[in-house]
Amino acid sequence: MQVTLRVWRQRSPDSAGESRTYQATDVSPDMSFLELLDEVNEELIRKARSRSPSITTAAKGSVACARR
Amino acid sequence: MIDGVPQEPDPGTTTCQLHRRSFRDGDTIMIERWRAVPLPVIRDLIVDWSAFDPIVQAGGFVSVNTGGAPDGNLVPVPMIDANTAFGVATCIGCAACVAACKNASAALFTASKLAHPRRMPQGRQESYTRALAMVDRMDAEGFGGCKDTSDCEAACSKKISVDFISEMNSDYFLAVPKGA
Repeated sequence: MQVTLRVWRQRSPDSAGESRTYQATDVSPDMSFLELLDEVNEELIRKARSRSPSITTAAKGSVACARR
Repeated sequence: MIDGVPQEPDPGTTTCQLHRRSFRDGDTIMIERWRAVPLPVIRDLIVDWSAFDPIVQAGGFVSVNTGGAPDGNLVPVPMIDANTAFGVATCIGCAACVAACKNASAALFTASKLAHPRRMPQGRQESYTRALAMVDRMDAEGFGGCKDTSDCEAACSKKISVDFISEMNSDYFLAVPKGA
């Protein structure tokens, strides 16, 4: 299964936010919604690392999900 | 917010309990943060829920001396009250009610936190002072007033009824002249 995610991104409380589009492919129907976001995060991190091997912080390219 | 609605698309299910099979292949899913002034954004989808804490601190407790565990049958509680109290105590404070409300009201959250001690013999005595303190705190934290549209009940993942808001308002308006 494949879904398109339009996710609200905002760097800080004072900065302007925007909606960004991400593709999630090969998603299992039994996967939870948070696992889906984890997959998208992992994919973004992999892409960021392949572009710049020095990037090691997961947060640099990830979609932060609403967990506390 | 999923596609503009809190806790969508399965009624009575939080987003964290949602499964991918709730959507169709090829769907576009819009994911946004809660939109309410008292719940400011921290980053991306993360919002600051701390405005809920002072509401509970204002009265979400029962003033009894603790000690050894009493006998289970010492204070009889009608089964219907026990079940109702347990049902309303399932509120997890997810803030979907606030996000769903046009006025960003936390009335359903506050009413939930008032309703379960109110039904217990240990908490009933303080129900007026509790209502006064918690509703005033809710207003002070910047949440709006209830608009009676029941959007909060529709968004609630625990299906808590707006009837508890009526109960909260009743206690509050009785408490004001008493000076509770």
